[in-house]
Amino acid sequence: MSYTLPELMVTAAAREIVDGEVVFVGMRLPLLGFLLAKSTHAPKALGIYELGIIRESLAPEAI
Amino acid sequence: MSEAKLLTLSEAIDRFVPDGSSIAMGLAQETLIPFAAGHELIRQNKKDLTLIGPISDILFDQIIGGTGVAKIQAAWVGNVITGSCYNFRRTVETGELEMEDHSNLTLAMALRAGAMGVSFMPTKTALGSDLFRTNRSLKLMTCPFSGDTLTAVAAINPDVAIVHLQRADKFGNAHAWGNLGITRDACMASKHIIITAEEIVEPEVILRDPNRVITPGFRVSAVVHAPWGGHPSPVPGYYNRDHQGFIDYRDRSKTLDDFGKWKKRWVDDVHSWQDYLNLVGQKRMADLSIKNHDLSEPVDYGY
Repeated sequence: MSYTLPELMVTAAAREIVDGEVVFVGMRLPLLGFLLAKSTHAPKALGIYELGIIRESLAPEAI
Repeated sequence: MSEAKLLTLSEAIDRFVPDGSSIAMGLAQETLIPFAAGHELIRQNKKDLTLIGPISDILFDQIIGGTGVAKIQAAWVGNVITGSCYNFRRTVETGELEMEDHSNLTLAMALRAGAMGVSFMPTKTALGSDLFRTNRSLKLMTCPFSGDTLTAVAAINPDVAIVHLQRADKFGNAHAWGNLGITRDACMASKHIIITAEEIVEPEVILRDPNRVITPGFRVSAVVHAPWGGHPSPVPGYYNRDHQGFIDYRDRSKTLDDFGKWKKRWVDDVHSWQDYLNLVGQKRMADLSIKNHDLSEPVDYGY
């Protein structure tokens, strides 16, 4: 199975997140890592975003 | 009785931002970025500026390219959805721009110390990082009580804070809502405060919700009526982020020549907020305007 380097980084980051953890989520690739974790093995993870938002649930739409 | 401080954008910048000023802007990160005010700095050809703000998206790059910036105190300078910014990179690479490299939190702590009138703020952030190698405003210290090693972040007291927000009265009392970042501390740390507001309202409107007041009105130097003054950044309750605007800027700032054309179109040939809105266009404004209104429960300050 082939994958790009960004996909590898996003997946590696997602695997670091344990379900239920409170996570500081950076912008862009780190954000995708968090979303991947939340959508798969860590649905209860809580995200704190640097612009001052704490989210339990994902945004309804992507940009 | 408070004095009325309503000025045009041109008067406010001319009067309160001389050459050589240090200016705190873009303190809420992706929202409420004072683009209209930033463009006026370019229009008035200000020299030798220091720009202070954790992440001001493309605004700092526009000011760097458009007028004279000597120094930046920031955590990240770039185009949030596309990556690095070209004017910033050009001037850092030649050495003409001095970059004081902070994290979001060290910059927040510097402004907190400034707001409190003390010379530094102790914090744990940045310990063990490379920031100490290039940022001389960070020093290691020993806690006088616990003996622990802490970071001492030197205070920053900007000459002026420029804040874009939703509504203000002509006396300097203003409401801001949404994520406000380090706006409050930056205002308190700064010698002057310029507010640009989507709407100017009667004082009673501000008085009816005191918790929403962003900074003491008596400390504000100027209030400017600036509709869409945050565009292309989002203003909660008014308009959404103009993603295409940020993507377009990447393409239009790649070379100095490209940037020159951008500057002529979006700054030099714009003489009023009406001119700016004509450029944005009715259709785009309609697309960006808030459609899903989300009002909060009113609170009762009665007694």
